[in-house]
Amino acid sequence: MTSSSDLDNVARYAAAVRAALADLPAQERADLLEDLEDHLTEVASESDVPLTQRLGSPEQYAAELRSAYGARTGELPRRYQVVLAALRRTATYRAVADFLPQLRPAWWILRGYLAVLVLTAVFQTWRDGFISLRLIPYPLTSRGLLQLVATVVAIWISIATGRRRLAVSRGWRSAALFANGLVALAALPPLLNMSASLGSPYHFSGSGARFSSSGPRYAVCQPQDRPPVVVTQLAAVTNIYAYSRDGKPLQDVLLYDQNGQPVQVLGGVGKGAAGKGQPVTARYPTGADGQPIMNAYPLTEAGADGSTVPAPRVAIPPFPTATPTPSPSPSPTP
Amino acid sequence: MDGCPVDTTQLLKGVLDLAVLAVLAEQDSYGYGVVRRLRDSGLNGVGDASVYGTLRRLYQAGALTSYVVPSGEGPHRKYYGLNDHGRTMLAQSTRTWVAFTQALDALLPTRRPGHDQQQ
Repeated sequence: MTSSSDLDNVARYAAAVRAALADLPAQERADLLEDLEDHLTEVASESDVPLTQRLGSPEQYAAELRSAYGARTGELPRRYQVVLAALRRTATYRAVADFLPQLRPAWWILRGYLAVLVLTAVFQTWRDGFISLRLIPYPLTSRGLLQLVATVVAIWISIATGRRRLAVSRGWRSAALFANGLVALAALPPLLNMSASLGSPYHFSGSGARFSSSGPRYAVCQPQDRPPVVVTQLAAVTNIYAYSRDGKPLQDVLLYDQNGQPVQVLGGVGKGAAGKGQPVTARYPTGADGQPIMNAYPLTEAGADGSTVPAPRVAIPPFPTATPTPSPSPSPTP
Repeated sequence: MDGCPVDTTQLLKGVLDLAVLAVLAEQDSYGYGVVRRLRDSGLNGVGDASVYGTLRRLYQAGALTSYVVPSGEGPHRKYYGLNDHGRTMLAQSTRTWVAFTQALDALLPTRRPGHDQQQ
């Protein structure tokens, strides 16, 4: 028989359990606690020992309920769980789930490489303010060896880390997962940049908008399959010398890029080719409107002592001789 | 088992689903009936809330049917029973359990031939 005091006790006990589970989503809470009162009444009717003595405090009871019901239910709403469970039953899911762990060593290698990529991109951004990656490692450049060594070392570290399979706490495991995801995400921009530069015939194409420093600066690009002739204003190009096809040096050649923007190099930066180690400065001609003309080449560069930097020696490639204009052959005079 | 490093309640947590499914495979039962059946079978450490929570979860997962049996005295009882999904779950879990216990048995020194209980 259920006495009224017991019922009262059950009602109060159940109310306390409900209160302790107030943070659960409403639907889940309703599903779980649907017949809590009936159940507790049943328990109470079995014995005269007070509920708290048999079941522990309402809070303990709620915690036990939560772990038995909530822990494995997860935070996902039920409809997603149904979909997930159906997905897990498919053969495809099982095949993928079985196969993915085998790819782990491949990910270790890729991860090491991506780390190098990210570091290179970060370094470039810090130095130049933009990213322009060739295929890395690219042994034909000055940094190729460094890139190669860094890549090998990074992959080695990555594999060693992966093989150690540290028995670490869950917090560390999530941190590791997070770090892995971060590397993969951070590698996306450099990867895209690299694939873009591989796809285009030009290694780097500058545009004024990319440069934050004052004034528009423009870069001249070179096709990748030729030796570097002209790069950017940030690299070695400080002046441009133009020649006509028969080797005559041209003065005040105005250069524009494909957008009609004046092509400008950082003249006077660094040491002129014949500057004997002295810093040189560029002088720009002043236009009729009083504005300096920045894209007339070659720039006049002068050292600190006033001596102008002479033009470099150049080898003018032999052009084919102009096709002779057909002229009526002189007919022999009879 | 005083001083035993493996807590029975910890062990139970992992197999409570299986235990509840097994009880319901015997016959349909209500929450407290399952608790009592488990305790009668020697699983004293099983908590009332754990059984109730497990029943609700299995029900929400679609493994159980439920129906209310009115009773003259006392409360209505909500009975649970296995449906096809529940029976499949029980069969799968049983296989897992048997494989697991066999593997562990083979590992335990006292269960290997050539070792006596004192070692």
